[in-house]
Amino acid sequence: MKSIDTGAVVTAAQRFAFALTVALWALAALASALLVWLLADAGSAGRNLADAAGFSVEIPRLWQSLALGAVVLAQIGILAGVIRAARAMFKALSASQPASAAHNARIVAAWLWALFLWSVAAGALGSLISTWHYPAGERALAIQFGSAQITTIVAALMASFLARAFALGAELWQDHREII
Amino acid sequence: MAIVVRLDVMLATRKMTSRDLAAQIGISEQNLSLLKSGKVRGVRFNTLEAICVALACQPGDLLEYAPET
Repeated sequence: MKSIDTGAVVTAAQRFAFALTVALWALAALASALLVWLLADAGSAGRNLADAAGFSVEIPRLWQSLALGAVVLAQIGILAGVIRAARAMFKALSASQPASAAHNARIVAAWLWALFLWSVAAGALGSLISTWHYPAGERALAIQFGSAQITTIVAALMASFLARAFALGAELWQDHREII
Repeated sequence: MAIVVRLDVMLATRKMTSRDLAAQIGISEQNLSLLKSGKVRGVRFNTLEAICVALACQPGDLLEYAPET
């Protein structure tokens, strides 16, 4: 009887872990670039961030630029949490530790739900901050729920299911190891 | 566990070391040690067959049912 070969899964997991490490570094570079931009030219940074939020602010106040920057940095931080947990999950798989992979898959799901919630909150905060100094009657509080949020929900649901699948896989893997 | 593994007895009878048996049947010494001590959930038929061939014995020589009282 042919024994189960886990080599293909291990190799793929190693590659995914490496790719996510690169992604983490890219996120760190992005966050650093945003920080430098905010410190060097807060007005320009604030104006562009407000534009990205869908609102026009010709000359943003310093607090607006910093607040919008903080919202974006928080989003980057949560995304980094997702990627770190996913990297830990793939590292566990590459080390043939399915129980640890299941644990990390649950953490990925939790971070994805946090990402979804923050994306909705970030949209609202972005609109509120950007329009804070607008004339009365023109301020906005936008609640966004679009394809990005739906995609995040789908990803979170898949991660939750994966966590259960990995937990079952861990039991089967352990069972397999205990049968000589 | 009610199933007792008598592999160590057969190894002594056939004057074979665990290392040699593990190498002959293609499993690690660690797994063979787990099997000898009964700390496994089960044995595959192909592993049992390979041990019987290597030790020129029957499965009954290796496994004994001793119900717990």
